[in-house]
Amino acid sequence: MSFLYAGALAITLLVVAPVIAHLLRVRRARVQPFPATHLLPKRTMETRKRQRMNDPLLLLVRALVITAIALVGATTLIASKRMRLFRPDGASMGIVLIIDDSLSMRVRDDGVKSRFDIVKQRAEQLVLDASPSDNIAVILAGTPARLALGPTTDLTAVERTVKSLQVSDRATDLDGALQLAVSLLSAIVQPARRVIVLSDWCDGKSLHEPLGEGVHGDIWFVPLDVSADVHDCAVVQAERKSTRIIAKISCSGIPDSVASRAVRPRQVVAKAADETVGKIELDERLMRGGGTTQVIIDAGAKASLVDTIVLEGIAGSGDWIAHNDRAPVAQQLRGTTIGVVTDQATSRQTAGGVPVAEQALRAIIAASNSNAVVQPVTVLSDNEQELARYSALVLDNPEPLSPELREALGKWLERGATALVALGTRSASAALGTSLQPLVSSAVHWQTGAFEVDTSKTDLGPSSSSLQNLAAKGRAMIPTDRLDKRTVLASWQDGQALVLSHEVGKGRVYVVGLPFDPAVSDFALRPSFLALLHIVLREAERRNVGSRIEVGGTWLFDTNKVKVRTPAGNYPVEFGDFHGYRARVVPELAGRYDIDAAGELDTRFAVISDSELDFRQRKTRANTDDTSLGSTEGNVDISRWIVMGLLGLLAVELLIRAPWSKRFSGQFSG
Amino acid sequence: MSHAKQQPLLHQIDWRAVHSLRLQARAVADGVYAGMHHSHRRGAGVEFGGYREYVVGDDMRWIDRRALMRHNRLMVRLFETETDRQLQLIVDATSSMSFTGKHAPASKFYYASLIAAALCRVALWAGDPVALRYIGGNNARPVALGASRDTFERVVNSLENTVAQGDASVGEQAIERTMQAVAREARRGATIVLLSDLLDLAAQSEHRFAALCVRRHVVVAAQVLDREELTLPYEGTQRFTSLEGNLTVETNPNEVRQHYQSALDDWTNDWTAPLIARGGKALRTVTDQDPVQTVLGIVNAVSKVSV
Repeated sequence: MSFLYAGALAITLLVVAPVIAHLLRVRRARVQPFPATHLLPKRTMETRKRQRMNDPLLLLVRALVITAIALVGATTLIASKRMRLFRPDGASMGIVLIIDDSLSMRVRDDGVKSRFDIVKQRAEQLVLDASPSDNIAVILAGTPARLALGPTTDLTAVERTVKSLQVSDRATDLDGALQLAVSLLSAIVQPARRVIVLSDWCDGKSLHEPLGEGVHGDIWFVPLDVSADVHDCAVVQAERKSTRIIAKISCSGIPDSVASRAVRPRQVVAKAADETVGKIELDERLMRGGGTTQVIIDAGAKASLVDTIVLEGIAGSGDWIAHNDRAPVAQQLRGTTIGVVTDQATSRQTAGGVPVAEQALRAIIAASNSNAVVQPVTVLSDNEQELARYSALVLDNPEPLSPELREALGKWLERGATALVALGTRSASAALGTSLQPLVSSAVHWQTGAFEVDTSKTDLGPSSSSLQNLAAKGRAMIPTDRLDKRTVLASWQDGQALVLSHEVGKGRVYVVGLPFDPAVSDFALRPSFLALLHIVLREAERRNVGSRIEVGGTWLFDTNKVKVRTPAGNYPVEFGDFHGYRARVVPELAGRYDIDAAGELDTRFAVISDSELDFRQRKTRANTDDTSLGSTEGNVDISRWIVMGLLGLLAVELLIRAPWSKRFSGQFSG
Repeated sequence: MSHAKQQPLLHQIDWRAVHSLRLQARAVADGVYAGMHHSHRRGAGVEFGGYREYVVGDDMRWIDRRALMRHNRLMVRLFETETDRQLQLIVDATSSMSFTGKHAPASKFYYASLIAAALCRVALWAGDPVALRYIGGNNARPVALGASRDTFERVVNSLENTVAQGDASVGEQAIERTMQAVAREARRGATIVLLSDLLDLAAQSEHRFAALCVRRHVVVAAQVLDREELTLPYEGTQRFTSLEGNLTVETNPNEVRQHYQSALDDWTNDWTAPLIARGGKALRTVTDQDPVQTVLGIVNAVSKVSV
């Protein structure tokens, strides 16, 4: 606290005046020698009242009034951590607030307030300081980046939205949030626009290019003081396999600043209803150096009872996020396995050994941090149980299927599987009794000639334009009749479908009117091909029911009778139209989710991302500390608040001195 | 009490008003003396009544030479057959007696001295021997029992030279000495008068005084108070300080007046109760009251004591 005119504080000395007056009055009692003094009552009410302040409440109020006047006169300034946004010429602005609600924001650097609480408080301060004509949007940077509130001038709505924000267990997607923010800013009418990023900058991409590099516009990366000592270990996931419990443990590693300290051992403990069933020591090297490891605990006969894996013990100077030290145990979950069935003769020849679709899928899986597995399939089994191993199948130029295989494939699809079929010349050569049903509705015809794609009618994401000048030497005519929920994703210039999808039961089939053979077309070499495979991968992962997803992922349901329960109670379900689905569940916290979808019970798990245990901060682009954008601290003149308090005190004094309140004040004066 | 402001005692009392009075004791006196008293012992025999230490004024004829030679102390022989009625005066000369109210003519000690001198005069007129003793006081010299003409002068001089001082509330031995001396000296049927405010005397002093009610003694306690002590006339909050002891009380007299007066009465009653129970008499006088009325009151009290 500081004062502009400290001399005015001398007024405060007047506070002692009433006290001195009282003391003088007390001393004025006359001294009277009296022989029978011992017969007088020692102390009477009147003398007690006289020795006491007549009305301490009134004295207090007046002392406060004098103090307040002195403080106003001195112009009191207090050092404040309050966020202040600098405006160009005081104009109204278009503001996009990016608030990081990821798991790393749970860290309490000072041991008291979490990073999320700090940024949330800052966001509230910004909203309070906003001009009524400011257009403000709120984006959350937990993966995937998402819009919490579209641009609005309704500051009450913004304040309400910010106040309602909760930290999640999501990973961090600052890049996505920035892209979303930039696209939002372009739609804002105010010429002065600014993106304000409130984050801890721990998105697991500390070695990537600085955040915001290449993004135009004013971006204020609000600095946040974080401790360099932060480290943590977490149980990412746990599953049961026979009598063994397999837990995936990730550690951030201990920073150099605290590495010299002794590391106290930690144990991975398997618990069945709070009873320890098995225990194993966590490797100190993992705690010190960081990384991810699998820990296997043999729980014996009690394995089926184990419900939780807990990290016990405190490492070094402390485990900074206790929230992620336990995880529920799932039955061994079926991962997403994608089988690739290709024409070995053609694909191996052109791609140098590994089929092009297989190579592309592996690359996409690696780039998207997916847990999916690609498995080449030589011969497609007509056994339904063997097909069930696959979440998705990619069939490149398949031959028409036998009746047994068609039946097995149909049932596999109806249970919710995904298939991508690239039709080629072999697909069109149907033998007697064979067809490609249920992948397509009827026989396929191969058409030779030069065909071009109508990119204006292509819906394969940003890379749709890459299908220009495809120069296909032929095409398969996709029969589109009797296909349920058919969606055309790409078309030829004559309107024939190049890529379409349709549903079979709970499953989805993507059909391409070209094989992946580069000899027929460049389709497999174009970015749109990768986009299509990515769509199939995501669809397969999403439909891989009963499995786990990362926090922030989505479970979709085609029924609106969905109820979800977590150990904490009922979990909210969103109802609406989500690309044809009627209900959606987005897990915000890691853990177990018991789902009742139209009477079909299922248990699913949301897990945290390893990247959230990387507490190294990502760099931001050069102008992050640009003080022309705003400030997080400074002196604030609180005189107006003191004046408000002064008016309040005067009102209180009037109340005390009012005739009808004598009794009231008398209670205070004793 | 300021002696500079005091006038000689002899001029402070209307002697004519008390001239015709005699100390009329209704009780049967223990001696015969010029037809003034009735003695329960008839006859002219002289009976040895014991020894006591010589004090100034004693008749030299009764000094026992053998006792002087044996103990090297002047001892006086006492005779039971003396028919005069002693008057033993005990005057409280502690600090509390020096109190003078704003409208009072004199201090309580001065008033008590006046009453004592008047009683002395009355007794001497009747031919009764008088002795004077003090409780507390500075330069307080007791006057030995005497009935000679100069006895009155000695009593008055002693009273004039005494300054009310000292704390009797903590000096039990002073009261004990005085009471023992009176008990030893007073012959059967003696009149014992205590002039005191009865406020600051030591604990159990009322019982010591009441213990004098033996051998047909006529014992009277006259409480001398100032008008202010009686009415507590002060206004506004006062800080009262005691004259004896170290007590200070801050209070508003308006608030406690009734309580104080009740306490004063209770205190007085408690003090005099043992005395009255043993046949003694107690009365209260105020310094602004006519001394003649006070002396008459005491004489009447003496006369009413049933022996």
